[in-house]
Amino acid sequence: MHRDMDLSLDAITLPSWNPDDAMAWDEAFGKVENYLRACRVASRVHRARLTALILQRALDRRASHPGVPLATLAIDEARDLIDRWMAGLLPPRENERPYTMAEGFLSLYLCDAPMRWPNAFLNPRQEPPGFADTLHARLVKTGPELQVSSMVPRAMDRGLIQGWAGSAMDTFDRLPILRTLFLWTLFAIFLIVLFWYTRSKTI
Amino acid sequence: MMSESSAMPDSSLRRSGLRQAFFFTMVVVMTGVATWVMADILWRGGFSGIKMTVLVFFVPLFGMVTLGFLQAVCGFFILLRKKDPFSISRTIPDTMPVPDEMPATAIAIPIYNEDVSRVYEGLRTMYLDLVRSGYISRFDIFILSDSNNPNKWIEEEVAWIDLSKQVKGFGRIFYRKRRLGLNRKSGNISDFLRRWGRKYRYMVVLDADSLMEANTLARLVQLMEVNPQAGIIQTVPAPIQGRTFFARLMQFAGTLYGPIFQAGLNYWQAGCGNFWGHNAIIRVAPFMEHCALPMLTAGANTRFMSHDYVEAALMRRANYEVWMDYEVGGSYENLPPTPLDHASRDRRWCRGNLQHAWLITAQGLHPVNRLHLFLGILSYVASPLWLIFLILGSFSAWMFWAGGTVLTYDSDVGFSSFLDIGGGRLALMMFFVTMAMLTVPKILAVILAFLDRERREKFGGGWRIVLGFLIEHTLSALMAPVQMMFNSRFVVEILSGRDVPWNPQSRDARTGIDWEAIITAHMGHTVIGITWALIAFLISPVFFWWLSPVTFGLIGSIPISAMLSAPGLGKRLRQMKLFTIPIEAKPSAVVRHLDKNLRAIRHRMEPPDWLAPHYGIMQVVLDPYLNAAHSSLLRHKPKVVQHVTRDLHELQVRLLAKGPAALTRREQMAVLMNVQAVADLHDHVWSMPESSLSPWWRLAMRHYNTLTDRPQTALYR
Repeated sequence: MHRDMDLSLDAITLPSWNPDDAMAWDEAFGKVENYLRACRVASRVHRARLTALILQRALDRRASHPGVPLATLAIDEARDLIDRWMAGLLPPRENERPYTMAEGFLSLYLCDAPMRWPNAFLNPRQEPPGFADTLHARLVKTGPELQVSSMVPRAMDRGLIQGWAGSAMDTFDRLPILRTLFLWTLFAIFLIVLFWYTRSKTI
Repeated sequence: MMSESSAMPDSSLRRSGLRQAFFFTMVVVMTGVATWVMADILWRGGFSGIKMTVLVFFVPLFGMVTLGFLQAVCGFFILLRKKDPFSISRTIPDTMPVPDEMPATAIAIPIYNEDVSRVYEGLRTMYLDLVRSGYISRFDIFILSDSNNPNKWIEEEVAWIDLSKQVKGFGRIFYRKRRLGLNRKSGNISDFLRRWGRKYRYMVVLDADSLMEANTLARLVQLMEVNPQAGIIQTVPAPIQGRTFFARLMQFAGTLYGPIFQAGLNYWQAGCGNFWGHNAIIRVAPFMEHCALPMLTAGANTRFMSHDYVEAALMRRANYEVWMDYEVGGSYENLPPTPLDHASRDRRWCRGNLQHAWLITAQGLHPVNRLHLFLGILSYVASPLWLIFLILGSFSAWMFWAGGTVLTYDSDVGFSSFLDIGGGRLALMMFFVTMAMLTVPKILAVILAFLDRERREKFGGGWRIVLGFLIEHTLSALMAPVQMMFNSRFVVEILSGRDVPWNPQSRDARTGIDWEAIITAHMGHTVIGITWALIAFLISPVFFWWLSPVTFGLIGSIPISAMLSAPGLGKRLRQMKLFTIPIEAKPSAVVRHLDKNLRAIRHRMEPPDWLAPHYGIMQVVLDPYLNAAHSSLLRHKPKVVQHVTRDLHELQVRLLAKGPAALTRREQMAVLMNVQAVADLHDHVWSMPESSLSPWWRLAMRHYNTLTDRPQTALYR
């Protein structure tokens, strides 16, 4: 966590190839590359360079964390690097509470950093002009200041309908069997009326 | 301001009572005469129960026809005179400049699982128009989301941030997502008003597919300022962007025939108009004070689905007027693309309108508002009434046929004996008068278009108007019985207590014809149509032809519906300039801008099929930027309940180990609403060994940002 942030390729000394570790290395490489792509590091060269660097740092830590998968160590390293890179970019706070990584990502996102400065990600030696200033000026408001007030329905006399139909519907809601019986009764009345009409002489 | 303009004078309001008296006297007289003639026809051979029932059903059905006819005739003469003293628009001159100091106005856009691209492109267009016109400083825009589809929610958030970044709209465009969508759209608006309502004098409510020009927005504010008695001013949104045959047909009919009906409606309703739920400006303080919706019935926990009519009635009850401004222009909306989408929307509206029966006798409502509520109910109940009317007629004819009795209708007695035409001819005359009353309003609208050369040219010329009218009239006649069957079913289902789900409205054409849905929906209509036609033919070939306008529509419902749903046919018709409407011939800047952007979006790269159903979840979990953005928009809860944490942990484990499909939509929403769960998921998905992750996540990680380094939202092209 407290190692210096040397991101140059000079610092990389990849280990000698060991076929037994091939799968673990592949997974770690893939994971870190995917993560950097999720971070919208669009340049393949920049991504490959960062991936190699991160794997090197994961390798350095491996001896002290023998049970931890290499991919997990590599992602930890990647996030550690990003965290410290962001801490150096964001403005100091009055209460000295450190920024979370989420706040850092949000700031980058709000100033469109991945699009405007595609090669600036994890690149402290080549910080583009205006990058830090833009980052400091970000603010999101989902709504203006609240002015809470009430909006309460007024009492309403529904008149006749509420009286008889309302109580009937409430009863039907409480006792659905009554509604079914009511519908059956209507059907029976319909059959009786039909029977009567079909036997009347004039239609 | 008042020196340059004038509010609606009191004398005009008094005269509106005279107008209403005259108009409805005419409706009663015409319906009365028609009923008398119908009684005369039915009376031959003596009255019976069936004949009485037919006559009783005839009254509201013919009353509706008369109302529409008279409304159109009144509208025709108003538009012919080009002067309507009752138009709210006339209270300020067209050339009146917009004052520098306008009161603060909120534009509220409630959305629910809508097409995010359409919502935000419409918003972008309006925002840029407000910036160009210099009015933006007086308007705040609120996107009020009730979406319960996780993908839509995330897409809305991303689109909001991106749009605000692109147009520099932070602090002017706001986004709010309710955790619980209580009381649907009206609850969403009330929630907004309780939080921010006091900041604004006016609120413009828009639908997800609404579009309004900056000048229209400013003019609406001016109208409210000049008319302090106005509580709501409803604009008439012009239909736009119809791509299917059906949508083009509807927008042609709406644009050509609409104005005379609107002018006629304004003739009798005046300041007792209706609110249609969107594309309207509302005076916030009285709305908050008087228009909070009560429960549907005392004691039951149900609310009005069609809140707008009720809100208009409550506003009028509080002595504020509700106007329809049919002249203002610059207000637009999309239409359902297919007959099935139209029917689906009708189903919701049907339930909403039937619920208004609870208010018909409510104390304090203005009689015109009661009439609005009643007409809303009748517009749907008329369908089963018409169906029963036709069934009784068929049954009566069958009884004669089965009994070998000679039809007595043609006997030359009663009224027809004075005219010496016989009962049969009198019945035929009645039929043609009814048909004429349904057709004449459209002919009047065509005449109006012919009288205005510029308008005629914008419709594609005289012969295209006539051809369009003939096709539209034929197809609407064929579709009417299908609509009758749909509405009858809806009424029966709703009255028998079946629930009507709150589904988002489809507002855009799909890629092709959905044959399965069409056949499923119309198979019953076809069978009924064939059976009915066969029975009619057996009774009498004459009766078969009497009934043919109904049976032919039902029999042909599947091919007609398929034809109307075809986007390809709609495109060809547009190329032929058939069903062209003025806004297509000469689109306004905002419509042009929106069209251009939406065309570009249609060519964007979509996520693959396996990824699309859970794209939003994938973005939030995998993407560190969107994870951070989403977390920042969530409410941080200081108190954590232990069993909730345990449940959430179980959901997270399942989500990562089995993929998003292993969670229900509610479970997905629960995870995405918890700020800690969202952060944990992001950490875990990247740090867990691949063998612990579901194949879906492994694949998603490999594919994310490979095709594009940006999320697939409307705003990235």
